[in-house]
Amino acid sequence: MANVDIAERDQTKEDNGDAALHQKHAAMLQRLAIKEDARLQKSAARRAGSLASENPNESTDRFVDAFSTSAKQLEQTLSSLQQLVSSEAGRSSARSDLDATAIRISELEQFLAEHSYFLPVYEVRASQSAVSMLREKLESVNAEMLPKKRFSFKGKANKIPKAIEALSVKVSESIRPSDSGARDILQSVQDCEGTSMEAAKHSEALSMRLACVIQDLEGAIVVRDLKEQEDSEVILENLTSCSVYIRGICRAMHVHKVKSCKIYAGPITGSALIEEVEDCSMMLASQQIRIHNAKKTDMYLRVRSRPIVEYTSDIRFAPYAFSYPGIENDLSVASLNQETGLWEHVDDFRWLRATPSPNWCILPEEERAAPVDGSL
Amino acid sequence: MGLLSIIRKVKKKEKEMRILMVGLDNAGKTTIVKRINGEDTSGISPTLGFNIKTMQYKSFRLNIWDVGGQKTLRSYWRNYYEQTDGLVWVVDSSDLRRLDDCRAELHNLLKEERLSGASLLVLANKQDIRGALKPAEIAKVLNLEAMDNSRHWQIVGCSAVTGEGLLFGFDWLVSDIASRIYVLE
Repeated sequence: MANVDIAERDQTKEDNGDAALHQKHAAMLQRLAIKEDARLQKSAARRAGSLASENPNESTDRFVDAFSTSAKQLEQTLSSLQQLVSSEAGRSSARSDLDATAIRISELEQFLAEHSYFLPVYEVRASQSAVSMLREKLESVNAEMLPKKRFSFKGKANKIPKAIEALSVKVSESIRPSDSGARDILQSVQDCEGTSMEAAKHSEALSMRLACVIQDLEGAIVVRDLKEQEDSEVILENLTSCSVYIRGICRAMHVHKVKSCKIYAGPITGSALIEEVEDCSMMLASQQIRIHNAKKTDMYLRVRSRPIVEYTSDIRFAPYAFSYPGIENDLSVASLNQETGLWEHVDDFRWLRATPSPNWCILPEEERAAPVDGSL
Repeated sequence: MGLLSIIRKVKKKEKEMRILMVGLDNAGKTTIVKRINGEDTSGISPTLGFNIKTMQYKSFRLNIWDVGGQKTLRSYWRNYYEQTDGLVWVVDSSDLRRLDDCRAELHNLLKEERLSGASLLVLANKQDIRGALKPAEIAKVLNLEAMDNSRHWQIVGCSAVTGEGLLFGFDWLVSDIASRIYVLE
């Protein structure tokens, strides 16, 4: 009996447990359904919200539509204006239309500018080129209507048109790599300007060209003092077997086509550019030194930055060893009174590997020239 | 707010401009960049590769790419063309002999399609050297007038040593780019 009782009790217990489980299950399902509902609602709301927050103006398609319609309209207007302008009678009426069109093109450009921040790069480019095409067309219509105004520099007025054309032709001819290109340019500038009303002004400007030019010499010894032209440049060109002593400070130095020469110079406050030298020995002190297309040359340098070589071979480097009375003062003016040690830190732009460049080396001490005294 | 809209807003607010500085070697490009950034201009080595400077100018952020001008580096210039808003071409006004080179390189550069929209500022540098050519003369030799219809350009005489002319030049460049890309406030 007792056993049955227990069994029955167990049975009811089980039933009770089952019911509770069902209830729990149902409750859970309900909770899930509510959650799902809420989630759906939320996402719908979010979608709606994002739709609202997304600026309808920030749509590329919309922009392209609007842009191309107005571009097309403008194009048509311009074409009809072009026809109008070609007939004598239409010109007067076309004037105001042209102005209006110009304004509309500017508006279109403005419209593009305002929207460019969200547009893909391609659209911006394409639209920009469309605008510039419209502009060009407008220009051409304008040109048909009126003789085009010539461009001229402000303040110079338009008194030089012919001379300019002659000049630019002449200059372009004369600066083909000729031996003394610089001279030719000056010459042609002078020649052309001589015929124009600007002559006085320009020859004045050219006489200001206070360069110390040493060129076209063979077997000469040249000594120059630069004391009075502190801010001029030194140009050495086309020299063979010469010795050049330059005392004093200059702003810049250009060396070109120099062969078998010895060149000694005081400090340069700017840069030195050395091109096409061969079989030379040079002593230079400068802020920057660039050596291009050089062969078999010894460079005695003091530099405030790393010297560079490009397209060179057999260039040897040593420290600066030139002096003349008063050089100490000149060197300190150019901030070169102290050895920087950079003369041996040469960069070869044609040799970007980690191994040392075969194009230059340090001049062995026993082969270095004795210090040069420029007091002569 | 999505990430994209944040980026858009930031970009719009910052107003970045990408400026490419090129020109023959020895023109003074790096010295100019250092000068306008207020840095020491002594002891600058010829640029092997490139430098980037970011600076704030008025309400704009300028990213200035200063690329070396040595002959061996010029073929790499094209790697820097993408998305350039402004082009600065620096000329050594005292180097008459290489003006021909200078013009050829410039016109070569301007043929590049990726630079077709960029404003061009030509800086006729080294005006502090007494013999330097004047900006108007440089403009003639470089034949800048030929692109009156195709490009916004300006030539300005300057000196990286004294700083003269630099502000005027960059001011023109920035406002020209701004009027093209952004609406001027």
